[in-house]
Amino acid sequence: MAIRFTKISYIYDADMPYFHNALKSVNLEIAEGRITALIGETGSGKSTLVQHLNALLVPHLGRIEILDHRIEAGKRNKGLKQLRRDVGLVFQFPEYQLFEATVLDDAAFGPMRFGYSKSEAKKRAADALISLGITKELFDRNPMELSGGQKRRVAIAGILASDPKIIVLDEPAAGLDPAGTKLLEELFVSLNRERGKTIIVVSHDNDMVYSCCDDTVLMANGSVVYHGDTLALFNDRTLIDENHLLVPRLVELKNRLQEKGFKVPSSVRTIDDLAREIAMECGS
Amino acid sequence: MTVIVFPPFPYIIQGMSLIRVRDLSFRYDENTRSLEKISFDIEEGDYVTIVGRNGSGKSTLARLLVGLETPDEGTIEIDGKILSDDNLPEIRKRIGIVFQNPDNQFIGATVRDDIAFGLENRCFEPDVMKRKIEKYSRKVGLSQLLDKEPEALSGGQKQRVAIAGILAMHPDIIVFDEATSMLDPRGRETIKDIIDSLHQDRKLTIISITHDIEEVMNSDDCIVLYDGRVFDHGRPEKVFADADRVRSIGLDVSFIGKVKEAFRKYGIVLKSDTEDEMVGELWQYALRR
Repeated sequence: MAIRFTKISYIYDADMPYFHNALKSVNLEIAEGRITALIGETGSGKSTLVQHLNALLVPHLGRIEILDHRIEAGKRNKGLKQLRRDVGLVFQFPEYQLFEATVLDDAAFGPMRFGYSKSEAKKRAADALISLGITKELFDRNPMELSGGQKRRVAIAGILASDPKIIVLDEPAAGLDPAGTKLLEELFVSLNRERGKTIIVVSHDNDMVYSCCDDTVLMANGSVVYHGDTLALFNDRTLIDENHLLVPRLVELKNRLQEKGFKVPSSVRTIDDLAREIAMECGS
Repeated sequence: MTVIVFPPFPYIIQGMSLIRVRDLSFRYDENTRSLEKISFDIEEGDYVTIVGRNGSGKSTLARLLVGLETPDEGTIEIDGKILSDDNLPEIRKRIGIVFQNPDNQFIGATVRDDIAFGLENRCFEPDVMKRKIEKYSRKVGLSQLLDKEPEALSGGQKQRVAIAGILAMHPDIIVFDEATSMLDPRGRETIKDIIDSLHQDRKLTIISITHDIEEVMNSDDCIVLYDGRVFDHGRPEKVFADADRVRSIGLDVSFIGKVKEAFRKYGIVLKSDTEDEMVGELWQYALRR
């Protein structure tokens, strides 16, 4: 098990009259080597949960086990640096955190902090930047001169350069153009499929969740209300209605085709799958 | 390596358009080109979307249109007046802009104060102000939230406050600079619905910079920027008809467009432009088989 949350509670402004109980005794186990989506409405606790994954927040109650690290409420927790190297956290709008004078230095900052030599750190940073489509010509530029989408990718490269085992992305595609979004999706799928990384993606884009994520954790009001197979969730009318989920457009179209009389299986994951199934049914 | 061929610019209409942009060039510094000889017209009452990759110059164009930046070359003409330092205060009264980040545009301590800010600057009488605040907060569905602090609102609600504040000034033009991109799906839908309803009246000219292809398909006209130039300009269904061409500049086609493309691969050519039609068309196809 990559991650295990046992009865985690987190309260903002705990000692104030306007305290907010953001996580309410959450139990959650995320298996190694899978792509897991974390979904739920704004304010449901997604970002709070994510910040526990590398101990930016420490729970008020409960215990978290991540790989071989342990974080417990009320204790002085050790080895956080190693934990933060193992779990790479890409925040919402990570470009706000760029600060170095050049693109390459910025992406190399993480690996240098985690003990790589300067040349090794730069090599890792360069590889990560190129895998994200930031070309060499941009390495010496000031990151502040880049466009929003390019800054985003530089910031993500900085996380990838430290080669974490678990990669957590908090709405990585918000504000990116379609090509940038697609590149990012392909990147985290390939980091998972080819390099065995455990991926956790916080997202509002259920179309992306449906086509890319093995499992889905659905949060509401600080609790986990569903954790399981992504396809099963979005094909379950009751779960969708109870939780006011936006149905992925592919599922909506597939449902309408099924209602019309087509025998499309509910396991179609992509538009291409759907077209192939229908074409087969029509005998072409 | 994709070779991009820029089409000649055939869109110059001789009549009086509300907005006429001619040979507009702008760069932030010597090394970076932001906009290069941009020309286009926008007609009064139209809903125009501006699309393009991150870094293609969309936001720069928005900042130029509302006078936050000054062009290096070329002109922006609004209702027959060329934008200049002299008439900028006058023209600014006619244009409002809603920015991407809902948190960066609040001044007031409550929603009411925030909407009032622009009106106070124009020295409206208190009772006129009160009426205007009520009218425009109702228009964007904020009547119940007037006494709230802006910080306590969701992203979509914050953007609605910004829109109400602009509407209260009676502008002719509103520019939305990726106003929905930081919102969750529900917030995004409410803002898109408001844009739609503003467009229904046809009194306002709406310019929306967006990555949301479904929003683009819903607009009257679409300007595609690529590398600081106008790559295409026309009806969205025409501009986005050729999927390969659209993808060559880092954009994508709509969901329906992708579905049609996938079916074509398996020898099924669909004509429908909506899901309803498509389900029917596929069923007819299956019956013939």
